[in-house]
Amino acid sequence: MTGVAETKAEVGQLLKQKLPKAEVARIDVREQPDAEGQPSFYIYVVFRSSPSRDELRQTNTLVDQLRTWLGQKGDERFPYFSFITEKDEKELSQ
Amino acid sequence: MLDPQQLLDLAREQADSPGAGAPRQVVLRRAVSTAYYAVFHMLCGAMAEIFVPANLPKSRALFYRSPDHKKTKERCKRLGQNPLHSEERSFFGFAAFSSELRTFANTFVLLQELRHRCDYDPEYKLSKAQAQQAVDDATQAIGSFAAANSDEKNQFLAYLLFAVRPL
Repeated sequence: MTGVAETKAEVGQLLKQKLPKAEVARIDVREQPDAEGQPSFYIYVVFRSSPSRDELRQTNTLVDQLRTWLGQKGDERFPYFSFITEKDEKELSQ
Repeated sequence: MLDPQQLLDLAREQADSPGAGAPRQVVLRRAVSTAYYAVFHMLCGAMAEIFVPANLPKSRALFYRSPDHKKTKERCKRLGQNPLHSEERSFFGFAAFSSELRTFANTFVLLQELRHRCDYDPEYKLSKAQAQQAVDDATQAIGSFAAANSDEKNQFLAYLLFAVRPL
């Protein structure tokens, strides 16, 4: 099984390749079951400012790349990504 | 059959909700749910059209209604893997589906999970940008599916319907 820290580091690398201009404030990785009870990763990426919609479209292959990386380590957990800005995160927490 | 494009248009209207102030959570949740259903109905329509001739509308309707949300998600998880599990790899005779179909499969899983949270988790909150991204993801998923090779799509859909049963 892959650890949270290792997964977080890989996500950071993938984001640098996919969104080189984006300023990532924080990446949270949680291990928890999905709606069907299957062990999964929930990956929460917080940006300092909002990447453009075009930039965010580049993220649709992130799951594929991360699943391939996890699979090479014998880990079949599905990575559920979520992207948010610091501003939106603050507003939603109020 | 429901038109996936009309569902996507509706999801876009809901996610872009132009009113003043922060959009209501209920509207954003509906946007995500509608975006997911656009993808689901596209899949149902593709199964019916690919496997049943147009002159057999009742059979088409049965195929259209056959996909089950949970099984489709489980099977999309398997088909989105690169490489495929040994069972599927040995059955299909190739290592993985194309990136178009893997993207579709993985996006289907993501959207169904998000839709589940939007429809059933009373504490879940999402931003307007997250709802808009769900609609973009659904649009891209449908585009990826359309761009895939037709023989490969046929095998992909047949697996979603029946999976691989051990001999």
